[in-house]
Amino acid sequence: MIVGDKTPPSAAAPLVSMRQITKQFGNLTAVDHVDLDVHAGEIHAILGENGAGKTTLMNVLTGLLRPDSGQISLDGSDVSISSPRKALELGIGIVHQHFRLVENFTTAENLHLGWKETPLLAGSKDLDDRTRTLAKQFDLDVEANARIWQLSVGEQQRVAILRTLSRGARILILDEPTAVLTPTEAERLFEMLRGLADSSKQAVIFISHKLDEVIAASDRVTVLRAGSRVNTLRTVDCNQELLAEMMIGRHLDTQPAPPSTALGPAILVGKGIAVRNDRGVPALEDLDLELRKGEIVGVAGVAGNGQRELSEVLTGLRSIDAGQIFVSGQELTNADPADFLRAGIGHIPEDRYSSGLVSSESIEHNAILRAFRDPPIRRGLFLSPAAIKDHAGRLVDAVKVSIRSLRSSVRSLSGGNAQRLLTGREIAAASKVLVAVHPTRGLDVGAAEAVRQALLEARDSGVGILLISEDLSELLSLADRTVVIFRGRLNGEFNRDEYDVNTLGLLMGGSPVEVS
Amino acid sequence: MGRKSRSWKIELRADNPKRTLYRISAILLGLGIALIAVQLGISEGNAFERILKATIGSRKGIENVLELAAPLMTTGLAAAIAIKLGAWNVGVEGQFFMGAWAAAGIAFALDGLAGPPLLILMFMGAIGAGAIWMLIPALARAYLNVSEILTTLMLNFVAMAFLAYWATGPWRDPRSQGAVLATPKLPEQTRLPKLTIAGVEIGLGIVIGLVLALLLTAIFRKSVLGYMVTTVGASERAGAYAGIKVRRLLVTVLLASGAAGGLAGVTHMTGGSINRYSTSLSSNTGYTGIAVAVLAGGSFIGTTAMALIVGAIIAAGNSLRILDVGSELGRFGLTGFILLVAAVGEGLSHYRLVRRGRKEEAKITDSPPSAITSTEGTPT
Repeated sequence: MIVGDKTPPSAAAPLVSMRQITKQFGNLTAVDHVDLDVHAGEIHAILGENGAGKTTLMNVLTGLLRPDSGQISLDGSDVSISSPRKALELGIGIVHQHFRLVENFTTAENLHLGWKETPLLAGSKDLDDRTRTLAKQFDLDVEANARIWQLSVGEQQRVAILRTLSRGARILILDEPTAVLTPTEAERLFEMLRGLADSSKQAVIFISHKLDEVIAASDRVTVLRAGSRVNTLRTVDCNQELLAEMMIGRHLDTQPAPPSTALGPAILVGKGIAVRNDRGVPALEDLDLELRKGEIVGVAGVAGNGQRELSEVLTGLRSIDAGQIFVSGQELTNADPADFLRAGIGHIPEDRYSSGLVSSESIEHNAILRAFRDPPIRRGLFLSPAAIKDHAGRLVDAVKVSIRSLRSSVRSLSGGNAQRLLTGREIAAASKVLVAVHPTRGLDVGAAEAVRQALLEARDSGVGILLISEDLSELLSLADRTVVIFRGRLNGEFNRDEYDVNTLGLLMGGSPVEVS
Repeated sequence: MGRKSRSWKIELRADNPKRTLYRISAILLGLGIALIAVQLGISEGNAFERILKATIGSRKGIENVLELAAPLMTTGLAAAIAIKLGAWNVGVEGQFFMGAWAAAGIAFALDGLAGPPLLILMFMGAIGAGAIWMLIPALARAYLNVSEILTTLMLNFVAMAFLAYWATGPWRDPRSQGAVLATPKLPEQTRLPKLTIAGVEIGLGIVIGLVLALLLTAIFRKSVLGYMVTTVGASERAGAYAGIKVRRLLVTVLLASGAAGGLAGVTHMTGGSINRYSTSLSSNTGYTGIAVAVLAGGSFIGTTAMALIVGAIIAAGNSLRILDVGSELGRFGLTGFILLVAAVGEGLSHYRLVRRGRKEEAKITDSPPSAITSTEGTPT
């Protein structure tokens, strides 16, 4: 039974209905008995913050995952969606954040690639003509013979959408579609989706964490939180405050840590930082930041708002386009990682396996990744095996990971243990500042608690910690101050114990709010 | 969920401690099959006997194998150095010849000097020349991301043209005729002495190869430089993260690779039977060295072992020429086939056969689900 639902007069029964869908990964319940009904001609938004289960739910609908329990029905009859191909056959198509188009090919070629209906012998003119016909059918403005790399991101997205629609998708799912678009392009997208829903009776589902979008573009919205469905409402019956509250919850389960005992002057200062991400889209814009000695500053925000770029910029892994960075008064703008390291900045990176750890190498090798340049491990041009063993052994003991041998590969460790090793190493290496990105991700309760303790100890010994985390409760418990990042800017600032859940939710959802 | 409960699946494995065993077995298997094929294919005579005699069955055979293997060791090591960083030095052939050129030049210019000091200068010159020949490709790769495969390969042709100029011009041997381009013999004192162990003559080339392999192994396992190369070779991002200056490291290692190529050239020129700067110094020795290094899985000691094996294979192939196996087919076909089997064996050593249905403890995939990954069975 869906609460607060009023079926639109145009359709009697939903086009697709997901009932009591549950999906677990180990002991993590990603989706917990969720219901979702979407009607033809409806634009339905799925709103939630990190870990709410939005993506997992859509992965079930598109055949990438099989639910542990629950049922999906299409046009009233139950279906089993065993694979993405099956989903497409059933008319369920998804456009991901990364479009999966071949950049060197033209629009027409991408459209026809791997498609059963492509005629065997078709010249490029034929493909172009077919493309134009399809574009007209769905009222989508695309250039048939342009190469993908020549197109703007908005245009590329239209090609991806057209591709999905041409394959017969009646249910079009878009995963955070405006993440890569400019505001104007986003407007255009929603106009186009409206047209699709109204004329072709597509059922459109889009995943989002942005409140203004949801209000402006959807007919109904389902809010997910921590894997459960909070509610499904008609958008006209909602406002941003209500949505924010549903998204975050009324109470956050936080146990505030003791306040810092070593608070000192500013140790890391960032002014006007602007940087673009790998796709050339601005990831941080005019960002100011101040981190004091002995303080934990938490950065809250839904993934994809510039957190990764922020952590890379503050550790030398990415050079900035504008602005300045100072550590203890010394300017480190555009310095390389070695300089940041020497300045005493540790980094628990977001992707532990591709930068923080060398997965093919031994535990020993990884343990000394920060320490190999200095004595006692370094002896002239060589490394001392005894010192390496000692250092690695002490690290492993400190993080309480049981291993077979210091020489075994890091790959043989479980994800959680590898994370503990990485975290322990970085906390030890950070003498002034620690940039910690999702430090407890993938850890069980005990290990996560141990990491949090280690962070607090580091803080109390004078290290300034920038904590970027998806776990809001954790953030609010540990942080002395919390800021919210949205679209590359920091908004709002809450001191410990003074946070207001509603304002927090609004800020995370992008709503401009005056914070006193 | 309705899956068949008993089915087999090929799965990527994290670690294979028996990898060397797999490799060696693959090579032996390839050898065995090749031998059987050859024996079946010839009309008379015993291929197996002949091959044995030409390789390890007689003193002359062993000496022959060692002579063939010597240059392959050093060119193999040169290629292996680059492979540690995931780069490909396809220019070993060219560095080989440039090293020989520099050494020959020094020998001709300073022919009044006694043997040992002259040789030392020649070796230094050759190593330097090999490194310089690598300079442009190294810089282009590190700072401009230009593929070193292309640049080093192209320079091989330049090196050959260079040789042609010197061997037909300033260093022309008035007595030489025919298609081989060669200079007059180098001064007598530049001939490297040969060792005799257990009645077998061993050229210094082998010794130099072994010493180099041991040196490189020590450097890579024990030095700071070696640690950095291992890190960057495994993951450039991890290298950057660790504060390693990746581009500088790349250039250093590539130059070392070039230097080793130059060393191979001078060693073979002075330690082998051809004491001239000549095209016949190399029969694709540089390229074969790359195959040797790849087969050895990038290990330095393994490269020396592999060089001996490939040397034996080539000797075997040569011996079959007379048996009407078709010389080109015999030599290259045989070698190629064994290399193929070995390479497949190497690839397969990364996988294992697993019976599906086992509950495997989630390892690397043990993280919150993202849009892409799934710990489920494979969808279509």
